[in-house]
Amino acid sequence: MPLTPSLLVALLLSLARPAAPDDPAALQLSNPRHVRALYLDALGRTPDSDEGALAASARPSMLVPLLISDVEFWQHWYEDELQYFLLLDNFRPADAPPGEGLPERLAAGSLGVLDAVRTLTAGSAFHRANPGNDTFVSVVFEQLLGLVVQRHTAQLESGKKMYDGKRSSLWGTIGNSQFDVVTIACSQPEFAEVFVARQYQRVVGLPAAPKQVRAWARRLEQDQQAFNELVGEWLLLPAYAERLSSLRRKTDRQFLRGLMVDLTGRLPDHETLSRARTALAAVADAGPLRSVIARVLLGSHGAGLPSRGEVEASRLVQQLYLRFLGRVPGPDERDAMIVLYQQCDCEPEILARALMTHWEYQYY
Amino acid sequence: MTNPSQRRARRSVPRRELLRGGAALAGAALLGGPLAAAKPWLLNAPLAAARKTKRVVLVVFGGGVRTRETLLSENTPNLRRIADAGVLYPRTAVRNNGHYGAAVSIFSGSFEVFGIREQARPQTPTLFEIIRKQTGLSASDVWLSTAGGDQETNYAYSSASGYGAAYGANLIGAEGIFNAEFKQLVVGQGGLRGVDAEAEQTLGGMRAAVDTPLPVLGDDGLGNDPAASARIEQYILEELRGSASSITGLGANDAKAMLVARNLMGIFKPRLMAVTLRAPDVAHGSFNDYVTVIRRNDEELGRLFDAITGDPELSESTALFVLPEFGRDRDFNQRRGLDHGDSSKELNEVATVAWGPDFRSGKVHDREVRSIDVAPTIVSLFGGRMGPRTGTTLPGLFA
Repeated sequence: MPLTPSLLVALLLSLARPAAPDDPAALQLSNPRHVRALYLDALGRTPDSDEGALAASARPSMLVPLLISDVEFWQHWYEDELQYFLLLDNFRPADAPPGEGLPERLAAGSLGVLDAVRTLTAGSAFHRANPGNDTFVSVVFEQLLGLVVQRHTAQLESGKKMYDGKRSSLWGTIGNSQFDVVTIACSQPEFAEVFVARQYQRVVGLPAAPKQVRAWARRLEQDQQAFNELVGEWLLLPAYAERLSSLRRKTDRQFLRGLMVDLTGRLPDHETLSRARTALAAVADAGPLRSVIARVLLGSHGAGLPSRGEVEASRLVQQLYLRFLGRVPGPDERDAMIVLYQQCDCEPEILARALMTHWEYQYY
Repeated sequence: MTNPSQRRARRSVPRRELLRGGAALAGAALLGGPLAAAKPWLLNAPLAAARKTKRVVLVVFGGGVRTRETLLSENTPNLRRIADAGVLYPRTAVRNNGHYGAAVSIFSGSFEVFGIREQARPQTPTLFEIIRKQTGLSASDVWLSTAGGDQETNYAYSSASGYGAAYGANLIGAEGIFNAEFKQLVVGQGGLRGVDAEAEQTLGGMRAAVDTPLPVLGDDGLGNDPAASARIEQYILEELRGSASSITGLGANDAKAMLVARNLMGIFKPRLMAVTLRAPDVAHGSFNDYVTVIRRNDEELGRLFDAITGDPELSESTALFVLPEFGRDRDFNQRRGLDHGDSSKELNEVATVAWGPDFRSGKVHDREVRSIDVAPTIVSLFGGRMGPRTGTTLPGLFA
């Protein structure tokens, strides 16, 4: 992987690192699982070997702001938003000219995150994905404001009229277009609250307290550029570190991008990602198909593994656990793996295959 | 270490045998795994006292199909022979609430209302969930093969309180996986290798040796245990090596769904297997294509039926239900095609065929039944009961 700006700064940081305190309620970058989780939550992929090594010797308070200020953070955010609004495949918004896409504008600070959501939902792709007044207004109410439309029939009917170009009122504001429906919805206080609650859940993996959600939402309304700060604060909260004491299921995108980085140090190309995601969407339980994909991509790309005999078995087992699961094996696991490996007539790849096709690899 | 020639000489286990047994793959995962806690008496128990039926296959012969082009024609000889050997309900009332909504209604036993593009899951629990919840069947015992489409993934389970993914069906959208593009992805660079039984055994043992020290956060999906997941993984690999991805032509998606169902029946012998077809909806633009697809689907239905009757275990234990979600308009549209929206008898009344070891043979039940009666009938075969506001069991079915 090329030396990215964040990698370079992380390298510089690592040269003057202080020892991280051994606090169980804090993010521990000396723990490879924590580093993998941080990358998956911030960038939607695992770290490559260089990034992992550098992160291990950095302080969370320095690395986290670096990760979330990178354009890759915003690209990950954008792709997750497209997934949330189901703007996929044929409904994906057209690519903007280089440097003018939402992620680039967000990273440059020329667009606020709430404005970006409004831009997405007021765009033609969203209209195409949600045709008709009932579908469009229902989706806007549900996804932007968290409303159960069956309990807000008067607003729904009013929104449908507005969608159809008729003069109508929503929460006291007059409008007469689809654009007005979105704009009025985005001006409600619930818009920022629903957004913040959703983003906290996305990043931390747990629901936030309503009181905190309201406070964060008001802060974001005051200054949309504060979103990076908020995410940085969330990632440094004890709640995030405590979440890491359990396993959270990777999204399909996290799984596929992490898999390719784990194997090759590179991200998958768009075609590979798209084909694999389409297939994963065609099953009710993606677990077995994820294992198939891991198996075949390992077979296709290899993992730069040594040949049998080049590395002593116990060391190999330890290395592969750290690389793919972010943890060391327990004594019984290690012993069983060593025995099975020594008994078989096989290459180290089978160890990698066992770990990458195990259900634990689908979590982080 | 061994040299390459020694490796080539490894014992090769027939693939199907490997999939059926799954022991090599599951390895020690079976020991102490969730399956060990399952109720062993359920694995091959008859569905209800003194009945032979142990398994049920439900084919939603969908896409909007009139009886005029099936049992009242020469297009579907296989459906005809199944009907002749079973019970025919020629007056099955349906509702034209969109393909998705009408098909969901068959699964939930309740007429569901959905928009044509709506992605929502049913609000009433499906027969998959009710059967799994009430009888304790594992996820790998309940399968659904669809012709593809994101919307159809929602068939697997409902959003009903107390049900959901934990009781859902294993669903495979055949076209989503077994297509040329995905096959190219997995095969293209040599990643899809042949079966090496010894390596698979080692792999299974190694997987079983992984002792995850951390708990899982939140909902954990359908609940396929490690052994079942390993077998499904092997099945997908095997299907990718096979011919499913290369099926092409008019109605290919439906043909893939039927092939997947047939293979799943042969390999997993699930207790409940459902298939959904949809290609006949090509009728909007072409009556000829519509008939061609119906004929192709009937051929696939015949193959599935033959696979069941040709398997000694399945033939004596499997019941089959076949019905479309609704029919089509009485008259041609301007393109000499057939839409669905005229509220005609051709649209709102279809034929249901039921065949099985406990059912009557060669009977025609002339009184009206409903498509939402099929799910309660299947649930009752498993000894369960549907909830309120659902259909009733089909009358005149049992011998």
